[in-house]
Amino acid sequence: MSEAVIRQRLVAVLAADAVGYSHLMAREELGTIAALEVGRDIFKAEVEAHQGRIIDMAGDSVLASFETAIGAVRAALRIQERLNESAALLPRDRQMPFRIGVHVGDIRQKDDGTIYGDGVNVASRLQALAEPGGVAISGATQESIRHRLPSTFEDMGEQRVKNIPYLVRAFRVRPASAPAGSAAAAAAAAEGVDASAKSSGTQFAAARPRFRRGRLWLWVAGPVLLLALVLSGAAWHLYAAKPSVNIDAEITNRRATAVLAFIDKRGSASGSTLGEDMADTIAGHLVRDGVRVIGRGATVRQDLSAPDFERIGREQGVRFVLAGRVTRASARVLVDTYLTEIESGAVYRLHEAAFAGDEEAVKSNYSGAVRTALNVRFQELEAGRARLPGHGNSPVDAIALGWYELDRSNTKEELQSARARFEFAAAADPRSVEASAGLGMTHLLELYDFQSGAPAATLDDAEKALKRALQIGPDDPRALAAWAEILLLRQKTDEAFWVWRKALEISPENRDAQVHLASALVKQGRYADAAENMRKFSDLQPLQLRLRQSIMQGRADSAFAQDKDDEAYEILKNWAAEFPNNGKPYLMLAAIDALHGRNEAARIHMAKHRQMLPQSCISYIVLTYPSTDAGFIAQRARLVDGLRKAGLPEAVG
Amino acid sequence: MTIIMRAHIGARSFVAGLAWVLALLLCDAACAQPRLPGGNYSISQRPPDLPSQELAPPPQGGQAVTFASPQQEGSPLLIPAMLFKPTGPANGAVVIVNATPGWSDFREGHFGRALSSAGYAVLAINTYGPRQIADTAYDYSKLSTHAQVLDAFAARRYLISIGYGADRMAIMGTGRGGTIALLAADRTFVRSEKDRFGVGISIGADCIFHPRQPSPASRLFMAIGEKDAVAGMASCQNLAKNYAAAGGDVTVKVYPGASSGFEGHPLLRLIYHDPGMETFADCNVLVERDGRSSYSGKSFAEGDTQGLLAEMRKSCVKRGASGWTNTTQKANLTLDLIEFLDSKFRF
Repeated sequence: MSEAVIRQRLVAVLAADAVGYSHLMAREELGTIAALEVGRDIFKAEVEAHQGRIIDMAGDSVLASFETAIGAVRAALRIQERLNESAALLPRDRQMPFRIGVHVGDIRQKDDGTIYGDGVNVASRLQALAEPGGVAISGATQESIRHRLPSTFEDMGEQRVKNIPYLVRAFRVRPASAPAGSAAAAAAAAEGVDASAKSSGTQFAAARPRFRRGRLWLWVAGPVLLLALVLSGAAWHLYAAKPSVNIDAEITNRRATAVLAFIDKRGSASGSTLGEDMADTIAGHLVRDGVRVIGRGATVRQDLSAPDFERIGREQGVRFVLAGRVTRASARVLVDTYLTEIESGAVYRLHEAAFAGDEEAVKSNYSGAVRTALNVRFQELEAGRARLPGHGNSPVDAIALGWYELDRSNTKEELQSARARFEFAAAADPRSVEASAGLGMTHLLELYDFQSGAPAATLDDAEKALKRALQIGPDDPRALAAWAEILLLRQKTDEAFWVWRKALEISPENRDAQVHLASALVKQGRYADAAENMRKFSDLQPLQLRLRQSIMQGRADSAFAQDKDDEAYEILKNWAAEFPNNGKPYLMLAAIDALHGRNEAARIHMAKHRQMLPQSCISYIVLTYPSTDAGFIAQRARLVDGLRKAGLPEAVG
Repeated sequence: MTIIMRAHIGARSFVAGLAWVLALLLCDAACAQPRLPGGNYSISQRPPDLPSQELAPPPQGGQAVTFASPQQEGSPLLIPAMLFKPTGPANGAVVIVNATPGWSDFREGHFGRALSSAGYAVLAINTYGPRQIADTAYDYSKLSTHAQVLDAFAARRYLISIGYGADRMAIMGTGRGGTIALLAADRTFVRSEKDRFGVGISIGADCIFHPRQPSPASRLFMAIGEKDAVAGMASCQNLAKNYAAAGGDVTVKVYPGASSGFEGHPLLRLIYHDPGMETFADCNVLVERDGRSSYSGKSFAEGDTQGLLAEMRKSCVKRGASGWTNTTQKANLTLDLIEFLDSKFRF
């Protein structure tokens, strides 16, 4: 191996190991795996949140590097705090604490990110010196953070550790506010000895009794101690006030994907580079979308016809692999792209398309279609993972489940469940765009689904949450698409269309924006434009239930507004048959029946509608059909006329 | 195991220590549990709560349907199924017969979602549910294979009735479901050309039944786990050889490091051992043109799985096997299936 590929660096290394892992595995395999997964998620989130990088997570151990010592120690303390919280939910004999060691030292780093050297070895030995659930750091680490971290450092003295030729000074470290909860501290306290007696450096524990030298000392030491306590409290507050998890960053991290060159046996034999070109183009698009991508260069040794997915995952730190196939048949070039989730072995074909030749394939918008399909699959796979035993408790999983439920919700209970998940996530990370956007969407859908008891207040809630999302992430296409809907409901039509255009400029394949835009075009009487937009949705996945229903409603609204009542009726009947727990299609069915004198059918449809959506009334309907187009407003009046005839009340008491 | 020896020990302590080390090494060798290639974990018992409803929910992501399966006796049985529709027109349609431990989301659901994403309509059928059978891993004779073949043909007719092309039908299954796919791929078991599937796919199938005169009805893909202790490799490879010799179009692929059930639950990646599971690696039952089976000099009617198994248990059927999920091979198998179906139906 050449020298050029190895760099020497000074970094903070965090090494951790689970206590009693083998014993727990022997007792209960599945529970232990689940507990380990929860622990790993916490490590990943906190290392990322403190600007660190996971190097390895083999078996029950974790190795991470940080640019700063303070980042590493803060991460270590926070990890232990969260692991403690998580363990509190389990019986004592099923808890799996970790020991963590941190050292600042020289390491050698390979191009692939692997690190070696004394820095790693010392951190690993310190880990073994830590108490279960505790953190041990080296003297070098303590030296660089002692004035900057409000923690208690207990000097463990100089330690002789395996394979290190010199003595290593070690410290136990605890957050200043943490009680001396270790067995040693408890024993010491029982003997009347202050557990912090061995502490050195910056200490915020009580002064030792032997320093008591009369009233004068108390007069001096009292205020100093008080000041120190106040300062440490303030510092701890500032530290603790930081979000404990960066949800959006973690979502990005979870979507890390390795892109392999596409298989193109016949093309490669004749000198074509289409397989590589397609992989590179898609990888480029994904990088621009913020996905962490490992390019095909890193996996060049893989057998493309039988990739070792788990090895790719281990070596590249990714959860997904994107691969493809080029098939050449009858002067046509067929390109297929697949996504594989390494952990489950799940495989999806993302997109397939046929081209007249290589050049047409490269110039096409193939990668745009792949991106759209990829986002849907990411969401589906994340929700699937969050539903597995041992998952679902983290704010990041809550986001995955929230969107999943939102996409399926047709009842108030389903919507409330999704909202509770977004609220939980927003409380854990108030700066998460995903959490605020999701929260805003739940309010918006409550309004549109006729489930709100106070529609005006619900609109305000939606506006507030979406405004928050856009303050944090002004370019988030999903939040922008929903914001445009708010503007439309506020009768700011031009602004709404401008925002939709912006959302689609940022993310041209964003289906949320496209579907909402098509629906708004109907409400502005631009039926031809709306129809052209809706034709783009032929590739919607069967699992995109809400979008599919939005399109059905858009088509029914469009047909009704053009006096094609029979066509609208047919669409609504199909909608009701496919989604029997949704009360919305019965609304317009009842109106059309009433307008055409089918009074008994109107009565039955209206009863079904009101049974499922008791908040529905004339004023509410008018609110959800905002328009500034005279033609559409006239059609809305026709709808209202039908609804009145079918028995819908003006208002709900 | 780490043994720390202090620096200052006397000769006596040293000898005592050495004796301990030797004793521990001997114990390690004697007490060590068997290890299987392909994994670093000792064999443990199959987790007792598997498959539970939580870990093995029914297939998700499709549309729940039922279809009627005519029975040899009595009224037709309503078979529950999950229909996975592709986006856009279907390249073909696939019937998936449930695996030995019953249908589940991580197996039939996995294949349903993957194949439907690739443009195939998939009907995963639960042949156990209406017969109140949870599992046949411990007692293969709980249900006759003949009844399951009839269910598969009824599933095919159902798919045709809802608009899928009769000339683009495949049947597949894993474990016992794969055995049913193999039966349906030979005219010995297909009574009417109208019931014939164009393609058959077996994954880790128990290759028990060998037609005396193979009469290929479908193009076959046989996926075999290199370390499948339930079905064994040789029996399936022989079946494929006979099928090819009779003019059949058969592709056999062996998946290195894959055990029985390698396409299983992602949480079961460690080796587990199930001492009660019936295994058939040494079983070879000849099937006559009329569907009767011959084993150990005795003849059994097509639907008499109980009688046949009772005889087989006297000799070839054994109990106890190990398995583990291999997600790499599960993904590669899925990609291979899509490629195989595409080669038969799409191009």
